[in-house]
Amino acid sequence: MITGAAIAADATVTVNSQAVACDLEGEVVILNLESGVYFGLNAVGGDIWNYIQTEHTVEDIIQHLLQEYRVERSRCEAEVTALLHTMSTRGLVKIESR
Amino acid sequence: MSGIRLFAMEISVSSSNRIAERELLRLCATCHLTEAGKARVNDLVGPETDWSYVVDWAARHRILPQLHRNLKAACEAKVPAGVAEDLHRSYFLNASQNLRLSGEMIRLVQLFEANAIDVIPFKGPLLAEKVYGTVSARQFGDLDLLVRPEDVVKARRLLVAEGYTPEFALEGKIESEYLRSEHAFQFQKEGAGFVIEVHWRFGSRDQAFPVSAEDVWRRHGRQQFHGHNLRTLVQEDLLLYLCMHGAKHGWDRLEWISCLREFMSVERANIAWVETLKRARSAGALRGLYIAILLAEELGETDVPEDIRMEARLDRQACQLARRAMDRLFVDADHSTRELARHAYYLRSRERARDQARIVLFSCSRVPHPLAKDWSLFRIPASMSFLYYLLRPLRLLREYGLPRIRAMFRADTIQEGKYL
Repeated sequence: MITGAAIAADATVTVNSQAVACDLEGEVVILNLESGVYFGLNAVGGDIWNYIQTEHTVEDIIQHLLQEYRVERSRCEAEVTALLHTMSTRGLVKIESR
Repeated sequence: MSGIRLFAMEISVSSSNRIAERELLRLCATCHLTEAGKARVNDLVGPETDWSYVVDWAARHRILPQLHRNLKAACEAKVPAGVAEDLHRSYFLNASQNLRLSGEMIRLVQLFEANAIDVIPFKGPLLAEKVYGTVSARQFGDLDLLVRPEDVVKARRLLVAEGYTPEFALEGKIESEYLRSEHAFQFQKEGAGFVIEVHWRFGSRDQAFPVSAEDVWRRHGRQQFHGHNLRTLVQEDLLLYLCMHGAKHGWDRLEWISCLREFMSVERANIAWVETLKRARSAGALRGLYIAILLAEELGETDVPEDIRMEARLDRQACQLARRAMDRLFVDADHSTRELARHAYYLRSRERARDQARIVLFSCSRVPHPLAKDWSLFRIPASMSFLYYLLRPLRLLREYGLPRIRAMFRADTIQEGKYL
């Protein structure tokens, strides 16, 4: 499990089975069953959440977003890494290095 | 109240003019409006729309999430700000409650399985996810868990240890009689806002319910739910269950119809219709299936094969019962009237005389529900529980009155099409 901000591009991301989520008008609300805390993701975050319902690497996620949205790679990379780090510390995803 | 007065009262309510609001509710009960549907909703909404009527009946029909989504898609600007805000708030609250229920369902399944209790969750979050793709799009207030009859007592002990309170205490012969004649126990937890219903069969003995728990245990399937591989009913069993569950309640909720229609659409590639018809026929649930198909068609196109839709349309009784359910959707009635109407409806939705006879026989002679009035009216020691078989008909007569019971069934069988 990676808890620091540095996440390798080939690290795999999976959703934690203690997290359940639902769509809410284009956004996504996630409940961590262990902590009982709700989290909200905007449309782009929701897109990432839906994408990682099956296992993907960080690089896969970045490529997916670059195809879907007009965004510079460096910015996309930074924001994806930051979001994954936050979700990991909140127990919503598991990130594992290869 | 006499049967005639009851009849007159319901006519007066149903003839009041809320035609546009009712059409709006029927359209907005669907999961996704078509373009034509959106245009029609836009036409129906105007300054004269009675929003308190629309929201009140949407809540009764458990379609507030659908109403919110469809109004937003069709005519967001025409919805008064206060109404839109209320709908948005209720949508959000429903979503958060459903997530909690989903979490509790997963937790209880894991708890049961860790204690060697096989469990099949059905309806609730699993159905919402399957039909609507997300648990936020459906209103439900309970979790239904099927366990094997021999595990019921153990499951009850586990839930009590988890802080749940059973709706009543049972002991000795009354408990064994209850397990033999009923189908579920309810549990609540203070502040939780939902009910856990532990089933060991799908209907009580007096319902002669055509979906058998034994069959379901023999051929259940699996459904992925947020990373958890849960047991679930195979689509043909779930379809028949939804059809007969609706019939059992007189199809008096739009959400049941809409959910069934959507289920048939989502599962169109998986439902084996020949097998479904075979199971329905052998279980005496063919008319129930036809009624459900006809009702689903009232909300729009369905994915039912044409030959089956044709067969449904040729079943005169099914057509009448479907029409009657549609006519009753917005009829106000007190609790006991509604219960009697549901019972009569369910009886007529069964095509075999032997099932009807069983329903009538066991309804009249059933041991009362432990919270039912029979117990408080006539307290009897557990060892004499057989006497309740004799007392129930007396209690029914006392509560409903002979003229009303007679009128209900006479109206049902003779005044075809006129009974509300």
